[in-house]
Amino acid sequence: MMPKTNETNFISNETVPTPSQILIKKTLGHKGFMIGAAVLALIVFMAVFAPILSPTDPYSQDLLHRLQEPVWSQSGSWDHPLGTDNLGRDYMSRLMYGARISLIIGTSAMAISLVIGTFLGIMAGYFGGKVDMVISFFITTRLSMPVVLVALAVVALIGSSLKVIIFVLGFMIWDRFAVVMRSSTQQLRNVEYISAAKSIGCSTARIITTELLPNIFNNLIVVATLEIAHAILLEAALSFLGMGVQPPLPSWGLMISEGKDFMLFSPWIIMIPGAILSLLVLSINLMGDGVRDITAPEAR
Amino acid sequence: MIAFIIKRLGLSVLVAVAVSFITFMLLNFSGDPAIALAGEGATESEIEFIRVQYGLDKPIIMQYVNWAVKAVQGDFGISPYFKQPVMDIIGNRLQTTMTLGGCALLFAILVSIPMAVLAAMYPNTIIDRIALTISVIGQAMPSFFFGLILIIVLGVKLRWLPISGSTTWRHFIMPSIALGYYATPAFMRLTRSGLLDVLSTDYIRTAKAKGLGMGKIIFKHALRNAIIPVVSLAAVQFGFMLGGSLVIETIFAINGVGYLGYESISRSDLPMVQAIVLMVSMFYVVLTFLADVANAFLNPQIRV
Repeated sequence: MMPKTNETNFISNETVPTPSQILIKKTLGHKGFMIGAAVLALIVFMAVFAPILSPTDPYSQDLLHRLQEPVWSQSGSWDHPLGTDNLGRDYMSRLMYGARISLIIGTSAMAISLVIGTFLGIMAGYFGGKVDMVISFFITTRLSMPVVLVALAVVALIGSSLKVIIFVLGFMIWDRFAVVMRSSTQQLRNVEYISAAKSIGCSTARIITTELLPNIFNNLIVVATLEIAHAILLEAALSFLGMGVQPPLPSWGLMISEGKDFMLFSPWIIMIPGAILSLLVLSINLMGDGVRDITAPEAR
Repeated sequence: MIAFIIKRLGLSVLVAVAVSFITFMLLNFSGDPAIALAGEGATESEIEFIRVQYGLDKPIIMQYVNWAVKAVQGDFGISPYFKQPVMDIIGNRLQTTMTLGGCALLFAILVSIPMAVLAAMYPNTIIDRIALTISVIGQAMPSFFFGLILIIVLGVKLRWLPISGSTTWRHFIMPSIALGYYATPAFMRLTRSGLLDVLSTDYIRTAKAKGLGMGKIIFKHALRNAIIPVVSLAAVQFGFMLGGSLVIETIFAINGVGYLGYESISRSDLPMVQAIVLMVSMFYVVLTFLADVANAFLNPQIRV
């Protein structure tokens, strides 16, 4: 083996990291992102393996053991680590299955709003002119309508189900996607590689999918995380107000609503679902902030 | 400037028309309004009677035009629940919601501006970190959960404040905190970054060079310039608060428009819901219009 000189070292992979190596290093070094990712991974794990992990069935009632305290209080026991609710249902099991509802609604509603908002935003940013005027008008109109009020009214009128909530939220929260995608596209519309693609006769669809999208993907991810968190909070609010996820499904918002009447003597009954809900949203927001920091050009 | 105002006004009117149309269509297509209005257990003939009485048998566009023409004159019809004109009921509640929104905004500004000033004066220090942490956690906690914690701690454990109703000023303290808290991160971030930008300019360096104290620089020079975008944010946030007050008003049983909206939705009081959605949207439209005009006055570059 040839002894390495300083020169060869300089251009070898060991000292000049590839872009993906830089990305991985920066990701691992970003505390907020890593904490968020760890917490989120834990909650997702809990949601996926709820049938295996949960102590009992989340729907089975036990009226003889209602409002049992969690294990850390004096009267608590390991039979029900987080206690039982007002119908004697195991709180830990309900919490685990509740994670599924939050995650499903959060990601599905985000996916719908991503499609709508990204499409509108890219159209407005890429074509500009009249198209931009019309789409900007859509965005302003959407922003003028109060989300909670409209979502609540529509869900109540159609009749609440998981599907209805997902679609109503998805159709309400596309505005940030549209705004961010519009401005990101505007910034790239006239850069050289887009002009080059145009000059060699690429179709608009091809330019948008192969040249534009990969370069605004970072911003898309950041908005996507924010909107998952947004949708989760909205679902919790709707369920808390009794017009979202319907009993006996264990939505965290609904659990807080059901526990509200008992919170004066047993504050833990709202603290547990409230804390895990905040933790989930916090972890997603931390990851979103992390992605923004990691991919920001100034920090490269 | 006048051209800018006219253009911006035209946009606001168009948005108002679009919002009213969407609101009307959403609420009339998300189910049969006649059945909703007639209530549970209504017979076939009762539903038909309601349908004719409310003009729901006419084409939907005609219904919208009729409704919109009356709405412009402030007539949103009769609430089937209260058996009174919708506007009479809302008029009483509006003041309460405005008070709540105003107090919440005041709270948000009083908390966030001093924190942002501290964070900007000592960037990347422990003070900056604490301010950032508070804002990140604030964004993650659902407003209803935060409201309930306030009730448990301030209302029940410490017995400092009344937990429901809206009769005295003390009733407004907790709801204002719960509602205003959510606006603090936005105010804090904007003020902090604005201040940091201003603090790196030449005239601030000059002020430092001539020996001005940091406090004087911040309050006499920097804050004045950094606060301009905060004013328009305040207008937008106030609009959001009027919409978001529904959750808070419901928790604290405050007799405002939000609580009325929630109750009306549960009772399928369609004329009332339509009026409230439209009214909250209109406030937002007017507030953003005013914010844009104010911005144009303060910053001539915007006037195009």
